[in-house]
Amino acid sequence: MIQVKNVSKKYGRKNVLRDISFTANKGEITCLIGINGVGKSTTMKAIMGITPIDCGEILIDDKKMNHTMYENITFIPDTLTMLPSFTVGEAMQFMKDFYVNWNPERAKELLGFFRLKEDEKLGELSKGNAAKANLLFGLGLDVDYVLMDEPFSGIDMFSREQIAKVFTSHLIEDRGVIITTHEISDIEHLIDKVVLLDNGEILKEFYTEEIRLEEGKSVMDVMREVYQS
Amino acid sequence: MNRYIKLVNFEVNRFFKLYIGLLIIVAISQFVSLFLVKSKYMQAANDANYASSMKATERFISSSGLLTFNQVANHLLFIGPIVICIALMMFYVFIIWYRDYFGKNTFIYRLFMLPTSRMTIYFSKATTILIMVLSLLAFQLILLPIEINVFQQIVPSELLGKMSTIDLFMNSNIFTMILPSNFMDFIFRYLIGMGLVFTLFTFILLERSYRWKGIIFGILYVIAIAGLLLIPAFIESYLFGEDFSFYPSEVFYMELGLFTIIITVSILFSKYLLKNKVSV
Repeated sequence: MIQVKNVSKKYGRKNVLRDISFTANKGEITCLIGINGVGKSTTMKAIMGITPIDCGEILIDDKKMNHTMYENITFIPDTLTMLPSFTVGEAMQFMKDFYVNWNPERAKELLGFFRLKEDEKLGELSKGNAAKANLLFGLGLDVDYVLMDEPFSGIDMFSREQIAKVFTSHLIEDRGVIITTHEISDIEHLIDKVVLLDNGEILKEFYTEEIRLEEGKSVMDVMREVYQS
Repeated sequence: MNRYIKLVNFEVNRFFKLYIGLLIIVAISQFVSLFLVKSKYMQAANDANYASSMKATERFISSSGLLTFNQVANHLLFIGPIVICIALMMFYVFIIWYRDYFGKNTFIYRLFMLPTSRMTIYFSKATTILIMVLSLLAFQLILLPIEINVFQQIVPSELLGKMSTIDLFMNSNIFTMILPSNFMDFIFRYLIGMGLVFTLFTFILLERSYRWKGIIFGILYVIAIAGLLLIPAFIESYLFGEDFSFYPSEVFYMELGLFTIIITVSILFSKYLLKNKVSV
């Protein structure tokens, strides 16, 4: 389980995260929702330990984050994390060289799934294919937790559909996923849990199934209620 | 250790093509300078008709002197590439960090998410700089005897002032600087270089931690380091008076100690920044 406990973060004088707390379980897809600039990406980076927090605590399976845990948790940001001069194949080799948990068979499968070619240069990929390559480098690892920052941002409809298919495939299996998005429509039916963020604060945290069954509402309905109230 | 070696290999490969290009330019420029110096000298010798008689040769030599490789080594096209290489390496100290932050793809995400400590990344970058510097030195050491040999082949023997690679290192300021004849001086010189690299790394990490404020902190840090280095001079001049001076060996060991402190402090400070302050 990923536990975010009373985390705050300031950039200069701006409070980006204000005492936020939530949990994300293994085997569930947790979605952080909010408009741009509410602190979604900062939360992801804070969980990964690549942005230091000012106060609070983040635990992964009851342990504080350290470099050895990058074998167990991965982050897929909305920008390519590999050198543009690399080909897809070279980037896969890089992952194999540095991660014990790199799964070459799964990576090959993802390569076929996304219809990417090993000799394509990363710097020459379209935005959609770059997003798929990013997913490939993240999901090619045998990790328990996957964090995805805006995987649908700025890419075409067909690529979005292809990426959305990943969530229902065995490629996600029983991993714990945290995803940020402001385009909920693509994955609304896949999400288990929602955390609504605004201005660095958590406005509401709920399970989609509960909201559906108990209140007969969709995620969009709750978002309208919370953000327009 | 394994990941450290892989990272060093990776960092070296990233600049390898550019570096080879740089070495080729150094070699070409130095060979061009060699032929230019020889041509200019021979032009003057031919104008003086030096080959007409023994006396004419002696007259020319007494007025112009023998042509030695030292004259080549002082030519702009010979020293220029070495100075440019040193400047580029100083520049590369910054590039090696900032290129991972900026550009189309932010590779720093991947580097910081590698299952290895951030200090491994830090030391791999420092090692890469050291490899670059020492490789350039080794390249120059291989190139020099070849250049001297070619020079001795193309200059008429009666006008040639013979000089070995060792003579050159004893007589040229720039070569004495890059390769001191004493082993301890060599270690000390390159310790100073690494002290500078680690200080600049700290400056960069301060900037990456506190952005604009970090630049000011970085400048203050560099000033503090410079102040620390002036301690022996300060003790000599102000504490003991004008009549007092340290023995060179005393200054050497004081500076050695100070650089060891600077390197240790810079590494520990960088470790703190990488762990607690630097973000992507």
